[in-house]
Amino acid sequence: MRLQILATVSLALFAGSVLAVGAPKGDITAGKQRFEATPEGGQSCASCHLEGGAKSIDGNTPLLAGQYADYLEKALKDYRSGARVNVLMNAQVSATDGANKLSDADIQNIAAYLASQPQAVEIYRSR
Amino acid sequence: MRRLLTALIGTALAFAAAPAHAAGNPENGKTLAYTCAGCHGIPEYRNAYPSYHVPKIAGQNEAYLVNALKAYKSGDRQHPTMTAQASSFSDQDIADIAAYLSAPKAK
Repeated sequence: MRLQILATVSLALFAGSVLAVGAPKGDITAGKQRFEATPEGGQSCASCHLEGGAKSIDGNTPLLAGQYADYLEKALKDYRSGARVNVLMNAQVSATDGANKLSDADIQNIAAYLASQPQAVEIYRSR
Repeated sequence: MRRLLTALIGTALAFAAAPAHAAGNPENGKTLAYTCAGCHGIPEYRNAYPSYHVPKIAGQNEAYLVNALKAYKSGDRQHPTMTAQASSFSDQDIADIAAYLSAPKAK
């Protein structure tokens, strides 16, 4: 009996940790605000990534709604550091001279917000 | 002067009308995209070191997909597997793959 309880508790803890891995760490509400906020002398994320990332201003601008939060975090951090080169995005999110100086918390929140939107992009399946 | 202006405008219009990229052939793209499914076709599939989800790419904008693959090829984006993949594709291959992946899902 004691063994059974132990097994159940372990299983529950394991399931909890698996679920926690997939859950975005950021604050969705704060992310939405940051995404839509227009910085002084700059443009908001939302001015190109339209409707919560479900649409975009042109074909060069990716759809972001429903994308994985951790991938979005990686992309934003790489744009911020310059590891990923894109003139427009580098200028937007650079930590030093970007129009939108994004902190780690900003990035986490924005990623959580976008990931929470109905997905505009999907897992690839034969189409 | 007026003739020069007309010629300039004519040239500008001709450039504006010409497509920036060769149009992609989604049929060929389907064949080429077979390899993509190995990572991008698995729900919750994760990249290792650093660990994050491999992005969802189906239904993404065509021009963005072209830019992404070309950036991996040129080194503007760094990722060992994606650089290797993109380097194996010609510009036409890339256009074909992007045309296929960006197409609305067949119902």
